[in-house]
Amino acid sequence: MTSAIIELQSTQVSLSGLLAVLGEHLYSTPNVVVRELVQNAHDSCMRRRLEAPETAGAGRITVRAGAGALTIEDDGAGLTHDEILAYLATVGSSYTRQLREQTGDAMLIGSFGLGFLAAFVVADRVTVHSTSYRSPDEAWIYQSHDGQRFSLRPGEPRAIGTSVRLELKERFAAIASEGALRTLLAHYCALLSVPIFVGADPAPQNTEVPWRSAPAGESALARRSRRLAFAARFEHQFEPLCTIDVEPTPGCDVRGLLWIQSGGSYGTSDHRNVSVFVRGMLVDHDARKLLPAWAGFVGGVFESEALVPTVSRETLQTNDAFQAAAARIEDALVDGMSALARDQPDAWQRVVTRHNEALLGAALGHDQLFDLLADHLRVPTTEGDLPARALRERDAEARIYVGMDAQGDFEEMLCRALGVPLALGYRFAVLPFLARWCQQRGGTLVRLGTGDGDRQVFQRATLSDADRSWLAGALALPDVELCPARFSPPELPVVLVANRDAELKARVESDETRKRLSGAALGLARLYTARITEAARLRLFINLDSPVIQRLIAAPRPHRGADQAARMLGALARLQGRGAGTADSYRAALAATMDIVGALVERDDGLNRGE
Amino acid sequence: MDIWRWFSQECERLDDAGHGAAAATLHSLVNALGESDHDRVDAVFPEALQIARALGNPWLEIFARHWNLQSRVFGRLHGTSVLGEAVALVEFAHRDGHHDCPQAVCTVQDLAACYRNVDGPGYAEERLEVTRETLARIDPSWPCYRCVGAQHAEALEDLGRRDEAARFLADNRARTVEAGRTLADRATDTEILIRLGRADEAMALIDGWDPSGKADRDLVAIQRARTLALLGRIDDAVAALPALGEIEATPGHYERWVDGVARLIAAGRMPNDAAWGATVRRFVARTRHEGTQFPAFTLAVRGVELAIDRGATSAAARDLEVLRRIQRERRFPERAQPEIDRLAARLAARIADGPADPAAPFADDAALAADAAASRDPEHRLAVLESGHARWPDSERVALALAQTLLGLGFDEDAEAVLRAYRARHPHEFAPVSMLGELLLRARRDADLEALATPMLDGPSPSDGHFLLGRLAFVRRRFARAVEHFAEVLERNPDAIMTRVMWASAARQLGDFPTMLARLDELLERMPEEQPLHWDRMVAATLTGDWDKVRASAAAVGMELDGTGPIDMPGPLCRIRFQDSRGGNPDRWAVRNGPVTARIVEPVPEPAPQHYDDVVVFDAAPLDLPRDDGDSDADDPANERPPTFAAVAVLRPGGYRTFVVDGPHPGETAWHELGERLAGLGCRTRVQSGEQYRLFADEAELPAIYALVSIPSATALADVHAALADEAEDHPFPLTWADLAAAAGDDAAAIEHRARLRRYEAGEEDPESA
Repeated sequence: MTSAIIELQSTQVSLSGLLAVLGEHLYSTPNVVVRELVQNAHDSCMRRRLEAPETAGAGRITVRAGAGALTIEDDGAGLTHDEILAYLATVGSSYTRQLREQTGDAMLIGSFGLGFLAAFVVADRVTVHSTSYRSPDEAWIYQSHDGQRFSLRPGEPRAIGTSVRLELKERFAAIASEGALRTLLAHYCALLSVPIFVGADPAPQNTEVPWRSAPAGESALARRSRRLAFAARFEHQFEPLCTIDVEPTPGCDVRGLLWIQSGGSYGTSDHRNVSVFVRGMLVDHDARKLLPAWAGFVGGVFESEALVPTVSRETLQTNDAFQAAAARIEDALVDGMSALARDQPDAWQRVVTRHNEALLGAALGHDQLFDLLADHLRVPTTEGDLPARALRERDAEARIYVGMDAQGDFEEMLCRALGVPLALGYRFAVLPFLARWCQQRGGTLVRLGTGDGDRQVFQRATLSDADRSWLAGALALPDVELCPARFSPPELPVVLVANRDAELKARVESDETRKRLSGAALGLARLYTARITEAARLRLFINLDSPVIQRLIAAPRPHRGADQAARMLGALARLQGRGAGTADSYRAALAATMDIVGALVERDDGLNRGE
Repeated sequence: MDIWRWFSQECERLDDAGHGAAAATLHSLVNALGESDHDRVDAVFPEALQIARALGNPWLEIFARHWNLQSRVFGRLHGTSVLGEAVALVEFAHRDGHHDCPQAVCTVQDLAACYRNVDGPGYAEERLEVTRETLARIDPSWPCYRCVGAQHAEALEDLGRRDEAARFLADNRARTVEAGRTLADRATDTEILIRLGRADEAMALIDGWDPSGKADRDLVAIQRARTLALLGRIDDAVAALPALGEIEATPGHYERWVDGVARLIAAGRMPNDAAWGATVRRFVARTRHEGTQFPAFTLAVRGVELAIDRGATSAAARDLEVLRRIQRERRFPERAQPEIDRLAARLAARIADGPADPAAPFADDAALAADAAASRDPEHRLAVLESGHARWPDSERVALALAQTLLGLGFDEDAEAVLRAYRARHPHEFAPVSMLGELLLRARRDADLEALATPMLDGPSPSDGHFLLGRLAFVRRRFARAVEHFAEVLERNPDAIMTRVMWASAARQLGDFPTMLARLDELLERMPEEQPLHWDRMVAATLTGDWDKVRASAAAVGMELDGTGPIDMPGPLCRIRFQDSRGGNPDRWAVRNGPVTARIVEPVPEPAPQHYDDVVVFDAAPLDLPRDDGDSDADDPANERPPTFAAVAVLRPGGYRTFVVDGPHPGETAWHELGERLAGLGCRTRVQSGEQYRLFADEAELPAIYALVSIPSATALADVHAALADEAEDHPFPLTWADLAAAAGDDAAAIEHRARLRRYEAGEEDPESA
């Protein structure tokens, strides 16, 4: 076995086909190659610890880069001549997998054959130097361009371990940068137990994993900083504000760290950032679905043996274990937020302030979170962001008014008249949050501009036929349904409100709609509108609690002043709302007001002249 | 037309136009639906709609409204409650310039599906026609082809043409595959096959069904469980069927899930018990509430059948009554009559087979009520109380127990009827009226409660009417009105307890502490051992300065306090939570100096709310959540925190205003002199910075100081401003106090101080000195 050149064809699969698949689909990022080779090196170190604990050295992996080449070196078990033949030469065979099955050691991660094969996707030539602990006096050099044909020859004696050198294809040369390797390894290999060095760096890229060990007598402060520092390795866009431990439970082995991000969020922002390690190796750096949808401001890093990587080993399978892990993580997050509120009020205040809007949505799906957040969150209103309690306190009837449309009709005007803020129900989560808040904390939610809301505000009342017909004439609003009612404040005599049902009926039953909508669909739509009886598209609520209205009704008839005043009120109603009427009717109302003002001046002119 | 391609192009356009957040919101709406997260749909939809309108993009408005309806019509099974919106959307989607929107077709399907919920068989002909029309306009390359096809098949099924539905769907699937499209949603395909008992075909479809979110996942699991049960693989079916908690928020699953459970009950693998009956009843109530009469009807039929099966004839009879009520609300009630008659006959047969009158063995109503109370099976209890109520219709205890049992089983309407009927016979008895009031309060039927109580004011027991109206006002937090009614109650019924408890609480909310104290005094005369009342009285008595009463109540809870007059004793640290009217709940460190008082010891600079040196009265129940035992932090003494209490009112304001003084350290001597001078003005100074605090000046890093100066109300801010300016005058790198300068009215100094501090922080050259 001197310098014989051995040539072999893989007997298991057609390598060129597999390489093409790996290159094009599975190993979409060349970084994965580094990951796979470091993983092999790690497995080798673990194997030496298991099989030859008495010979094990310090146990370290060193990754070097330069001149278009990359070297991964370990002081692990090394490979004998036969092992090289058996494992490097045979794709898909995996000694480490067999070993794991025998020993159950979760720290052995590799699928050696496949991992090694990945090297040929990025390299023109792969050279392996190896000395096995079983035959420490021998050294072997494996070399191949494509993984299918290779040479194997003895080399100069060297320390136990393996070194893999990749001479990179030109388009992958960028991997051979120590800076890039540091970033990559600090992230991908953060949870491996064997220290991994880049070049001549004095410190390894992987540090202690905070949840695996706790220094004796560690203070709460030190404990927090260690976790924050670890979280910061995985959170590049934001700073972690605080961290939450995730501990394994009998049904779920997931453990790790959650953190809340410093960056502000709005309701639907999704900055979920989740890294998942399976057997110490990062297999999914975007497993955001492990976090609930409401947690758009949360990051996490987890490890688990139960989660199963997909074939590409870059994502996770969405199986039962994944669902169980997601449920466990949500529980841990909610419990952790409760603990934060209790133990670190200052940090909690920051979280609540920065993520107010997202938390409004979060509170909806979770009873425990709702209780925790209900009194801390603010909702947007016409007077700025206010807590629900403040909204309720402003109204003598403990009502909270919500408007559903930014282009609202009378809603804002009514609230101004009442001197209360109007919650902006068209903003994220405002309406369901307030509905739930009122249900749990007391108070009445009034959705202005809806049938129910309007009924709550305008308590229908009755008026004699004579009064009604006089008002109808005097108000001069022919297209409007008069609705006598009682409402606050008494200073507000009339409010004009659109009748959406009547609007819909008019539209659906118009010729225009008939032309556009097919027969059967139109039939279904008209089944509904046939039941709508009101015809007027606008309603005028007349406030019988208003002293002005009371005087108008009480005035003897005919009464020119009352007629003019009523006409002025009709015009005022038109002018108040934004949506209630067309531009023409708005201008007509303005003109009517001006007429009456003019008439008043003329009358006083007359009085002054003694007419 | 592929709506998803259109939608993703639309989102790209939004991104390009700088409306990335709008695109995220629209995506989030669809994702929430896929995850059956209807709460989130409700959170996102109003915003999505507003965005579409603000962008003036009617197509996106149609998109948002369609997906909202998907959640309501398919996910939550709403019927008449969303019919108006479904009609409005169809109309909107077919206006000029809108009807080319790729989702205009879908809006017609939303309307048809809505009518399916309202009354599937009742509107089946119309739905068949609508889907036929739509299918004529599209081809299998449209995703709608499957969706509309499913609705067409459902209409056939509702017309009793099940085999035709199966043939139609098989053809629809074949054409879809031929057109190169995948069979995503298979709910109706599998449904028809399961109903036909064609389990193998159903299973083949289920096996190839790849769920994309929770909504699909649960649906697939339910269909799989039912199919497995059909195949006799009961163990596998038990394992496959999702738990109640998984599907409860999605009424769209109810009918199928209940069918799955019924199959497992039939196989003897799940208990057919009262709890199960209550679950089905809850489903029926929920669907009825949304005007979904058809699913409510089919669910109620199941409920009656299973109640008969388990021999719960009383419950079955009431379930059958509910079914009749639903029948009356259907479009063609007479068509459902054979089904009702069939169930009525089965029930009659079961009753004939059953035991004799359950009330017969009891000598009197008390014995019967005691026996019922001892029963753990609420349906048995119902049977006993029902016949007891028939035998002793004037027994209040039986009537109340019957109403309570009915409520527990979900027969709310029946409970109300029992109470109202009893009240009609016994208008003077308060307990049934009170229970009726609570029932209406819980259902938020305020108008009905007022209608009940208002006539009582002119009847024989106006105090009961006032109690109900007072309670309504109290629960709805209209405290001033509540108090008026409570006063009327006490005038007529001086020993009322509940009224006093509510009055004391209302008085506290109104800030009327003398009244709060008076009511608590009266309560304690009647119940001297009630510790919570003593704690409340300490709050009231402290605020009214009634120190003897504070001491007496403190003694009653085991705290002996010496002396007389105001209490100011050294106590432990605590935190006090204030309620800031602008929001936020600022907590401040405080020292407890009495049973329910504390002095705030933490100065916080303006503009935060100023509470330093306030003495506040707090509610003695700590706000902190209890620690769970598994918390590893709990053992660490460093994590032990003093309790947090809610402030009720400020007893004596401290009157201090606190400001920041920040800058390079002027040297120990100068700092000491400044401190003396400020102390002379009554100020309190607290250095917050540590040894390591540094600022920059002249390119050098200088030791710096950050301190808080709290100024009493008696001292003019201008005097403190002047004293600081005086001390700083000769210093090369003077301190800054921008907010204080501004508050003292020296805006020029404030601007200068802010600029100077920025330079200190950034290490920039001072433009003036340069």
